[in-house]
Amino acid sequence: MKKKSRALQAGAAIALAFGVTLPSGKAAAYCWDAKASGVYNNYNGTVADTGDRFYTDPTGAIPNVGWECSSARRAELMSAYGIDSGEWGDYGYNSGVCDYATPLARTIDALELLEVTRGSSPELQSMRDLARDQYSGANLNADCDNDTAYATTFCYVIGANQTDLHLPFFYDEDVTQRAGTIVHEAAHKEAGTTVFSCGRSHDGDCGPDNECDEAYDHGGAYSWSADFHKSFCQKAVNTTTALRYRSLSRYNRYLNTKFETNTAPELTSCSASTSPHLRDKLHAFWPMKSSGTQVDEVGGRNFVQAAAQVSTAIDGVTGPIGAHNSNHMAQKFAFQSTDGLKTASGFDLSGPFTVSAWARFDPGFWNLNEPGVIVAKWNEANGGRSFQLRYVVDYSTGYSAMRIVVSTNGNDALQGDVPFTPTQNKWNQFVLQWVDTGTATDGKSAVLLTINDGPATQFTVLSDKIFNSTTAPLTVAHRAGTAAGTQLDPWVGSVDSIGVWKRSISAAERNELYNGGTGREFAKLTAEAHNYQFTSLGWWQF
Amino acid sequence: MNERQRTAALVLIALVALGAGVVIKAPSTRAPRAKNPTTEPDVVADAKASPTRSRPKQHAKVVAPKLEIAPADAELIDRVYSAGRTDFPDTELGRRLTYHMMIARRYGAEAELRSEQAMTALREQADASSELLLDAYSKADESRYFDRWLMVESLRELRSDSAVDALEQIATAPLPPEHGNPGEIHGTSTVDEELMIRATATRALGEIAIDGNAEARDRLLAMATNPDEQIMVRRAAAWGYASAYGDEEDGVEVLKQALPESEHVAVIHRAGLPYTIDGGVMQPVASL
Repeated sequence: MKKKSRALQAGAAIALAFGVTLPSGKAAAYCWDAKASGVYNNYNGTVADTGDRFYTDPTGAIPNVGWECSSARRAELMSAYGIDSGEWGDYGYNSGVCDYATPLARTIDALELLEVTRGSSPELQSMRDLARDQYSGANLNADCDNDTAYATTFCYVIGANQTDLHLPFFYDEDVTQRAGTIVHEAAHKEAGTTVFSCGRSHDGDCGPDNECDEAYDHGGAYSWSADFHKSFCQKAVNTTTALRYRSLSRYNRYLNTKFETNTAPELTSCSASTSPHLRDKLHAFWPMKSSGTQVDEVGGRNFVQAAAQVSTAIDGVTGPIGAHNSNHMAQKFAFQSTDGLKTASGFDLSGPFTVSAWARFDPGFWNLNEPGVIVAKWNEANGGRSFQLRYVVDYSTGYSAMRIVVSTNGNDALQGDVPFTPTQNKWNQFVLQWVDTGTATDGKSAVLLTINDGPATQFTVLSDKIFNSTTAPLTVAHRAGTAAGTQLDPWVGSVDSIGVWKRSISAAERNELYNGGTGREFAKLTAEAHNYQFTSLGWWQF
Repeated sequence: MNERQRTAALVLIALVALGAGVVIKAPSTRAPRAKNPTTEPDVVADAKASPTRSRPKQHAKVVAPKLEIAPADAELIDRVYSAGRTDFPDTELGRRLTYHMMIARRYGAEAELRSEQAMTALREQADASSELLLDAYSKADESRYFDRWLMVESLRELRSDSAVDALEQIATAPLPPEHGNPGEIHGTSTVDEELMIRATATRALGEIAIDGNAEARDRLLAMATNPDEQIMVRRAAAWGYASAYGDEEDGVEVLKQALPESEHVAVIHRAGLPYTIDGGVMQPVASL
């Protein structure tokens, strides 16, 4: 009854813009007949032209891009994306190549959009490659019986996983959304963690069917489709402003509905901003791009080896963290007391300030069960203490947390824990901030710790200032011992992209640094949008 | 919120800001963005000289320049009109709008060039074009989500002062019932489509405000601070308001004063749930 009711509502006589007249005389099994009969009908018998006809240059003076009703091009795309002509016979393969009312033509159109609009964007390229990789070999099917969902991917114990595209995919989604759906389903189609599961399954708690991902940074299928629309908005070529802004709208809507938790800001423009705010009061930044000495891109406060042993550059490819690409350069620290990095001299840092670092708990059972300091300005000797960010774990009780330790006079030590259970081989962003609160003399300050895109945990410190030792260096993967050159609490894992600002950055800036779990290169510490009240000090990208 | 309520809200916000020691600069300190400088050089000059109101009203009867339409597209437009499948009258401007609505949704090598040419021609008659778009929008069936969105997106690109009232109405219109199945895995949602339309209308208001339209800016503030409004609309309104304020930092400061602190991130920074958890007072270290 619901469907009938909807059809009746839509059945009012209206002028229909830019539609494609439906073929007549088809068998009832055809999708377009279902629409024409009003069983499923948003457009009263006329299929909407939601971006389904390429612009072609009728004069032939300009090289065309696109499939343009070419049988040869359609065959190419069908082969590349696993569309079997036999399976699609009733869905348009046996109709005219240019019949845009058919499911096949509308699918081909979305696939061609993936092909011709990616330009030089590595993001759009990777999404197109994912779809090609997943669907090569007759695994992309049509099924119009389902008129309530866009698509379904089936994962099998034996045999290749397959995706069925449904009625709303063909006739409710505009062409950019269809392309995004194919990317989304391709992400699902990748093998899951078990033979019984699809890849990147929705793990959020949003309604009865859990129709969302737990978080944007988890790399789930919705992060792929959201990233597609963001990249299409900002980087697509051979398309119109309108379609790029259509993706902006879709991206923003995904942020609001497809993640149980999300902190990525909505877009307001498809233009990449060059707002320099994340360079504001940036004091140091270490990209961590090489072995040995790590260059500070801001102020020359290079990290050197704390002792003779050399830390190891991993993966061998420079770049940001890369949620979809694990290749990058970082510094890997073994569990040895001479392995850490430190600035060559004392690191001057009074509040307010921000220290951010990416850290990965490397594979290995004991790596999750060894406490250690990730970054610190803390000489164990009295008068040399300032702050530590450390991982604590009690194997016997199962308690684990990220712990902030601060000193307000160089001797004492105050602590606050944020419960945290690390996942092996996963990169995490930790942002530690010292914030002036109230007045300069009210006897209170605050320390914030933010893990990934989670909420900031704020601890009150009953002091106006953090102690600023002018002789204690900033250290990585250890804290300095009392005796010169000694290291305490070495940490096992990998560290990348350390930044220091001489201000407390905003929540929005933390999000920009996090960048959906992909991090930001030093060159891209400009990001989107916010020109607000901020200012930074240093940045190291390993 | 009507005009009286809006005025009252602005006064209240100003008083709160002053009470907190915040200096609110006049929102018109920044010269409005030049609009279509290649076609309206006199407008740019006026805008710089009189930043409080950027440009004179355009006349709807401006003779439109010739727009080159490829023969195949011209033929298609004829067919659309013959079949009665257009939202626009059979006039020169109506046909230009029909052409624009066809070409803006395409992609391919020349898609953007042709689409921009079509939009440039419409901007020559921005007020009249907006009027026809709004008329078409008001008559369009609810279920034509993409078409309705594209009409509003076109208004955003046109940035016509005459569309302020209608855009506000579109942005703040009550949501119709959900006709899709959003609770189902990969389910459809017509509310999603409606919200995308409303957020786009709000961004369109923002573009007009950035051009110097103080009325649009004031309405954006009212929308951004209305707790009953949709969050996507509030975020877009906050962006538009701050961007149009002259010095964006001043606009943000006004928003901060007008909004409860718990909404600053969600509305001003347009982000989801990155809130602060109270971790308590730091305690002496038990063990390192």
